[in-house]
Formats: sequence, C-alpha cells, structure tokens
Amino acid sequence: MSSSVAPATTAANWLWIAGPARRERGLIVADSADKWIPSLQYHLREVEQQSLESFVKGLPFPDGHFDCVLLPGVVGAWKGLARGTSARAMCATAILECRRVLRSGGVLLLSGRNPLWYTSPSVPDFALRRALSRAGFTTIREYFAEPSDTDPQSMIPACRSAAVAYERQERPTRGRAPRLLARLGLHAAAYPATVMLAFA
Amino acid sequence: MTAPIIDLLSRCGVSLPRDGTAWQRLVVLNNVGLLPGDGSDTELQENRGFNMLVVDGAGVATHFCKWRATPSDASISDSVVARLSRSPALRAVVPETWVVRTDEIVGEVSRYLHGDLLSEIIGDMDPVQMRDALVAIVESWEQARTSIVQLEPSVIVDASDAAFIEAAGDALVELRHAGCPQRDLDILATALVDAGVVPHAPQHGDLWPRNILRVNGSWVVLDFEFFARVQVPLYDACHLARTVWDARPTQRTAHPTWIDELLSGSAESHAYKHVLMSAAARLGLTPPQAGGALAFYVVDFAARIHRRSCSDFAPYLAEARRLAQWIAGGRRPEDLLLLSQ
Repeated sequence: MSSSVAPATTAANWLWIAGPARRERGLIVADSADKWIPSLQYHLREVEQQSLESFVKGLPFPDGHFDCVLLPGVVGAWKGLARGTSARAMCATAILECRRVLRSGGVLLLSGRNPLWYTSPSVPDFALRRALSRAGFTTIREYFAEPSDTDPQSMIPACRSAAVAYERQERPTRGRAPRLLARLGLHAAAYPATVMLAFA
Repeated sequence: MTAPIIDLLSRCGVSLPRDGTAWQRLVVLNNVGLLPGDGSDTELQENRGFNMLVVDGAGVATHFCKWRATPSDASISDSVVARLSRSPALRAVVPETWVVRTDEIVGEVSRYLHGDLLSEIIGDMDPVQMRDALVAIVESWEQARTSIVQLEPSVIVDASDAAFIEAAGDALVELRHAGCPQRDLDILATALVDAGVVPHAPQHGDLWPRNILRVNGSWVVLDFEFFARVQVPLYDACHLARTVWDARPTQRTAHPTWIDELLSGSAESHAYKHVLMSAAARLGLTPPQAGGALAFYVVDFAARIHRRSCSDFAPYLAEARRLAQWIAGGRRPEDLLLLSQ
C-alpha cells in the first residue's frame, strides 16, 4: 500500500528517466526552490540557485558550466514573469541563457501549468518549442504531470498511446473526461501540469 | 541519450525502440519518494520510489515495474521472484517477473497482465459475491504460497514456532511511540501472550485489492516486494479482508473501524469472518491461534502505517484501541470471529 505515504521530495526522480550523461552540477532558476533543492542534492554534487531576476543581467556562470538547469513553474506563466518586456521575449531570453550555461549533453527542465488545461497560453507551445530549437536544444520531450509539476506523482509522456495506457491503468472505471480526451487524441488538454525536458 | 532506467529494462528483455522515442513508452506512476533516498528510516525507504508502465506504440501496457532504493542486503523477495518467474506451475497465479538492480536502485519488472484489479470491482459486489471472491483469492494464494515454500524452503525463517508476542514486539513499541495508551498496549500484549505460538508461515505481506487482478476468471497476485517479511499465518487473509473493507466506502461510513464492522453482525461482517475462519481452518489453526493472528495483524498494520508517516494514521490507531477495549470487556480475540458476535 503506497498510495497513502506522506508526500516526499519526488521532484527529482525525473533524472532517472531523463538520463543526463553526467550528474555533477545543477542550477535551478526560481524565486522559490524549496521543494526542488533537497531532492536535487541527492542526485547532483553541486546545486546552485538563482532568482528569475538574474535573467535580466545574465546568469553569473561561465558557458557550459552545468549538467542540468531547471526552470520550474515557468510554463504557462511567462506573462507574469516578464518584467518590462513581452512574454515571448522573456521566454526566448531565459532559454538562450539556460542553453549558454548548459554543457553539451546537458538537460534543461521547464515545468509549470499546462497552458491548454488552463486555456491561457501566454507563450503558445509552438513558440516555446521554436525558442528551444533556436537556442540549440536538439531533442525535446514533453510530459504531463499529475497532480502538479512540483509533486509529479504521475508523469505521462505527451503522446496519445501513453495517455491511453495511463488512463486505462489509473482510471479504468472513473474519470471519464480524461479517458475520453486521451482516446480522442486530445490528451494535451487532459492534465493540469507539464514538464518539458530539452537536451542540449 | 540513454536513461539509466532504459538500460535496466533492456536487461530484463524489454525491447524499446532505438529511434529516440523510447521515452514515450515509459509512464511514471505512484512517484511517492525520492530515489535513492537518504537511508533515514527503513520502512519509509522501502516505500520510496515510483512505479512505471511500459507501453507499446498502440497504448497497450506490456510491463509493470516498481523502482525502489537498493536495500543494503540481498532481500529474500529477490530470490523468490527469480524462482517464481521460472516456475510454470506458478504462472497462473504470479506474473512472469524479473529483478534488476544497480548500487542505487532495484527494479521488479513484471510482464503486464490485462484484467480487472480487485480494487476496481470490489465495490460493486454484494456481501456474498465479495465473500466468495475473497475465499477464492485466499485459497488460490495459499496454494501458490505452498508451492513457493516447496521451491524455496529458505523463505521460512525459522522451523520452530513463532510466539505472537515476540512477533509483535517492535509493533507494540511503535504504537507506544505513536501515542497509544499503555493500558491498551498492555491488554493487547496480554492477549498476544495468551494466544501462544504458531508455526512460521511466510506471507505475501501486502495482499490488498490493488495487488490482485482477475484475469479470465482467475485471480493473479502481484507485487512481491514484502514477501516473507511477515511470518505469522493468516496475516494475508486479515490484510485482504481489512483493506477490502477500506475499499467499500458505504461500509466504512457505517462503522468507525473494521473491528466495529466485525462486531456489527451485518452480512458484510459475516463475509469477513467466513473468509478468516475458512482460511484458519485450512491452515489448521486453533481458534486461539486465529484470534492471536487477528490481534497481531491489527497491531502490526497500525505500526506499519505509523512508520510510513502516513497522514491518515488515526483510524488505524483507533482500530487497535477498539480491539483492546473490546478485549478489556472480558473477551478473547478469537471471539471476534464467531458469527454470533
């Protein structure tokens, strides 16, 4: 019986399925990172934290310094983070800067509210993907998370087959709406949170 | 980019696409604790980790995996699972399973069986259907357990009998730390002493509705993570009956604890008693031994829940205390199982 175990720091288990080649230095860029840092410290020898404000002046680290960079809580929230600039510009700047400090083979994690769930895409998915591609990220994986990106008890790859299998396993007889959405290929609107992994 | 998990799955013969889309085939479930963990508490560590569904391109699950922190010693369940996967006689009750490990994590990877989880169908059964299903499950599992013991005699930790009070020693200490009044603990301890001894019998340890699957009319038992940790007979039957009661919300709202349900004289309570007494008879237990096993289960399960730092511990403590209060009225634990109660 594991379902009633008290919540623990699960947020870094994604490293087991993402597999950055090296697990030495990590950076988290967030104004509040309390939920992430303890779990990252199990996996990474050094973990640095910077506030989102630091994108304005640039991250104070040399190029290729980190094995992984985390930008939690930004997806679906770029508009609120943009200070004196547009949401798209903020998104592009942040991603470029993250790519700069990532070494080749490193991984960037972006997470937050699924814009399609909340129907408020301040930066549309295609624009985010284009920004990642332009910054030099070669592979992008997207997952949906339940119940949230900071407590991802489930991580469902963003594709129909995975969503259908997940719904069959977790909600075989209840929760008709997500099951129907998954079957119809509308899984992108079925889950509240998203986690993106972009590989440099 | 090869993730550690994908390497481990390939060692179990799980074939994943090599075109960069393997990640789309891995769905993380029940992610309830960081791996590999910090070694702070044994029971909590055992519940750290996550499960995983491996799916094919059409969205059909092919394997179910449990990823946990690697224990410091080679656990008994590893060898059992390996033996089970090679035994055709057990495949009807136990899915084909592999175990892979690194220094940090261990995975139990089972071929996925398509069927109905008991947790999804138990709520729709009437008490008679429920009783018949539970009796069939317990019988089927007992037969498999007997085969396992023949295949792997080392799963019995001690050929001599087990004293209930010794088996419950750690659990009683845990309940004292959890705030159970000493008077209740003394009553429970006395009942366990009076129940005497019982032959060691390795139990599944987590036989609950989410670990039982109905496949083509047969019952399949999943998840051997805790196999043989408990060696008190009837534990699995008690745990199954107790957790089925949990899974039937209409019953839960009628009675504050499972003990109250057993005392209620309802059709539901008769079904649970029938399951437990028929299992005890098959095992050759005397009524005091059956009562002792029930008391041991109530104490042990409450302590397990407390060790896991569960937020909803209070009902389990209430259950242990309710049993103590009932025994304090001059009854014995085995009286709980009498249909006239």
